[in-house]
Amino acid sequence: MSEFFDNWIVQVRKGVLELCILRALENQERYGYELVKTLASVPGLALTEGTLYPLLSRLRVAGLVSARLEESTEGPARKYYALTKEGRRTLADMNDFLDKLNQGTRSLHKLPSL
Amino acid sequence: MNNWTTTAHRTLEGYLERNRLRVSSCGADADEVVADLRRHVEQEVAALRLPVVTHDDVQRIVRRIGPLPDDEPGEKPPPPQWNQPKKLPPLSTELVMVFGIVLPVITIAFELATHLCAGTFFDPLPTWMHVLLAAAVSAANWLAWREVRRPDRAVPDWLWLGNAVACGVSLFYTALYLPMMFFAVIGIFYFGLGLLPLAPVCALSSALWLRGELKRQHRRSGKPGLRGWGWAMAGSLALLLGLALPASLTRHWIDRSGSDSPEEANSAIANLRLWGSESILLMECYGRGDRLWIELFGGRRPNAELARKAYYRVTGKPFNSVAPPLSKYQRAGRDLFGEFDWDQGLGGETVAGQVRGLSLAQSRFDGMCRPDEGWAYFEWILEFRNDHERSQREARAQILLPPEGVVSRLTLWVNGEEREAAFAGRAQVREAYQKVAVQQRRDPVLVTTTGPDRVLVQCFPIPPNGGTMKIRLGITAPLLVENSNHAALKLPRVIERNFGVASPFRHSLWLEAPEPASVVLNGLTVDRSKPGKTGIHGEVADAVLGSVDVAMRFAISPRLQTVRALDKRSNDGAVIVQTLEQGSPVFLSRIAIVLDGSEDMNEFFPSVARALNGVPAKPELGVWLAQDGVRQIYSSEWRSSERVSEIVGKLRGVGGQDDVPALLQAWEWAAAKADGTLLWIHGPQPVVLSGLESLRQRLEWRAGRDGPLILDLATRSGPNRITEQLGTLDAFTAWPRLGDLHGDLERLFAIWSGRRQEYRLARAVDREAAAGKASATASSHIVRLWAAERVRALTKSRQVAEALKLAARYQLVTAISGAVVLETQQQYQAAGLTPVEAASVPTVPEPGTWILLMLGLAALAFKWRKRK
Repeated sequence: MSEFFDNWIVQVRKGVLELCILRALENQERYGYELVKTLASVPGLALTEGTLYPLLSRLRVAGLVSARLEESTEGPARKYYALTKEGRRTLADMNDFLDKLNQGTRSLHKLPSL
Repeated sequence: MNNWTTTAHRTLEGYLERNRLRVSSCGADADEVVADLRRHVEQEVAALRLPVVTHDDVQRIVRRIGPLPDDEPGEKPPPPQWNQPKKLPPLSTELVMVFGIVLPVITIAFELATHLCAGTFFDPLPTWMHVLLAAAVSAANWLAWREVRRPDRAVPDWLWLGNAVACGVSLFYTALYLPMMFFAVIGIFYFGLGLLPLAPVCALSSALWLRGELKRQHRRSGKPGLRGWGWAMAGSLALLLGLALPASLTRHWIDRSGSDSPEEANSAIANLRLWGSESILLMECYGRGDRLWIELFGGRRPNAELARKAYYRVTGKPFNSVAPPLSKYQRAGRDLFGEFDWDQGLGGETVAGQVRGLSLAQSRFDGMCRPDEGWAYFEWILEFRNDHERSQREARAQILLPPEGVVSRLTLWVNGEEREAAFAGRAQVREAYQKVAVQQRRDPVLVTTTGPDRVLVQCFPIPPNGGTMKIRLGITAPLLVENSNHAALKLPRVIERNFGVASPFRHSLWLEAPEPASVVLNGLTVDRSKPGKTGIHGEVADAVLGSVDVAMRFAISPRLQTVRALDKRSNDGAVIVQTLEQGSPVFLSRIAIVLDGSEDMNEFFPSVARALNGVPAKPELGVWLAQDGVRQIYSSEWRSSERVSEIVGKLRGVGGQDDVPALLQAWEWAAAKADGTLLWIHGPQPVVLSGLESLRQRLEWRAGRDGPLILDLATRSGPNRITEQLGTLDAFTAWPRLGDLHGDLERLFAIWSGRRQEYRLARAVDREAAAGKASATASSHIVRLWAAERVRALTKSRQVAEALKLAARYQLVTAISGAVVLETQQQYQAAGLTPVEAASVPTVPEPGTWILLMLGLAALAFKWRKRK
């Protein structure tokens, strides 16, 4: 693949990472390790833990997710993340925006020729 | 559980440290991310179930976690050592040690040792719980300080909560000391002093800094978050506020106790009795309120007068019967600041509170009693000692004289020499005293009356550091004829004082009488070695002398029927005749009894109840109880099945009470019929709680025989401000206490019922002077007693000038006259006073006796020489 395409992929991934995290937390709270494994399984996303944790921290600082620690019998304590109300609102806005953007990009090839 | 090799640890820490640097600029919380990554690695390790975690394992995991730009071997910055203390800014830790740990400890120790703040502004450590909490700040800061210097590890919960307590307590004290901080800062800049008031804010800043460090450290450990900090801080604040609540509420109720609404005032007093803090109340009485904020920012200042009234109503004790609230601090450095210990009553007309360092060093009675002439004369020598380090002191005492007794001599020792007093108008002698004592700070002593049979003695200045002042009071008193066989003698006693008395304190007494006494005080021996004389001497305990029902008894001589004394001070050499009279039967129409409802009366209600069985049946009877207002509890007009003795027997006293409203109601009822009488049975009345003008008005308009007789029966020794303030009206007649309360009341009711005869010694100018002079051999004390009666009568009929002349001529302290000793002749001249001649004062033994003794000795010597 060309370098241009690689760079473009990086840009797209960067743009949707927060959205993916928020979507992963939309229906249930998840602990960090679980979240990483879930998101790592998304094809094309190629998310690593080193990227995820700073993002989670930023989202928490921004008030979009909340975190709590819970002792675990299977190892170290687990840090559970959940969406806050603000997070849900933001996720809805992001979804709307992305839907419209998708529709817009798809409609482009249907335009009549000049 | 996995075992980590040292290199594995180093690898992980190196990775985390570099990751921290990477994320710190991207808007994430670096500590949080590092903790998350550590937790993630540990989860990976746990999932892999590695028995030993090596460098390679960690490398593998962190490589999978994500590509890191600096994560190449050889390019790593030196990784932090696992067991190496975390690097903190060194200045921060040192500052925390000095200002957050050491300074608070020094401040607490200094305050405990000196009580400087407590004595000057407010008491920051009023209870041991406060001391404990304040000390906990330093302790918690120290433990946290140690913790943050250690390697990264989870912070224990108790340390986290301890930090919360430290923050809460230091926040409370910071708020408390806020008004002083401004002055403290100025003090540091200008004088280099004033660091101690800043200790709370320093401790608070340190505790908050430590909180941040603890939080970061715990995050790094990857353990679950610390909880409960807010609750612990709020709890410590709530505890301190809870400890302060009694004081605040006490002050609030003190203020409300002065309300114009009786309901509100009574409710405040009820709350104070139930919930109030007695020590705070006492502190307010001495003007030592903790109202620094109010002092600085305006508002209502502590009202000591109101607090004193409230203290009395709550406890039933006068505030000055209890040691000042700071006396417990005298042991340590408090003495360094003795200048704060002021005497608020200096030169005043009240005894006021006890002052530190002043005590009664010696007390000596020398007396003569003549049951055959019906009088006794005491010379009471009192020596005061001042152990204060630097303040001169004024000794003040209210002395209860024997019934109808009068002060007829006053002496002060100046440089070892005796100086006699000048007797003059009350205002004149007081002005001279205040000028010489308070302004010039020289050596005067003053005696003025403070109600019937009471005098206020004050002398100043008693030098500090063990200085002494010695005075002598001469007291002439009539004997109280109980029946046809016996007369009783009461000793004078101190009922209120501003000096301490050692426990046990004994008064030295020597009394001579021609006849042996039938009853003497405990601790005295009777000496009959001299023919015709009985010496009664020994040491009398202060408690015995101070008790209300103690009296000595002497057999009455037939000579007492009529005795005559030559009045050498009259212009025409009049003769005073004294006769023993039997009282005529008493016909009373109404008997009003006012019972003091104070707590102090509890032990006396049963005696009163028993004695009331013997109250005369015929006169109408009404009983009023003075208790948080006034309540009539019995009337013979009511159709009540319960007897008055049963009702009184059930009474329970509470606190200290205002008897004036009850006296007013009972007086109105008793005065509504001719021959009404009012009997007031009460404990000490150290505080006047309501205005006396209404009562004064009634007594003035219905003075003497026009109004009801008011009998004043004190159950216990103590001051009586009501009779003091109404003293010049001579409206109250003290019913002499000769035994227990039941016996004294029975004696009174028996006289009222006609079952018992009343005796009295009547004195008058003998109009048949020629016949009288030959037999006028009795003592001049009879003349003094007559003069004192005459002064009272003239005062009552408002012939004050005449009365004053008489009092000065006979050298008597009366309601309108006083006695003062000044140091120099110039002071007397400046005050327009003339001290009495030394030869004109009464002495023990009397001058006549001395002459007889000398004559007797001369005769014996002559006879002996003649035999030779």
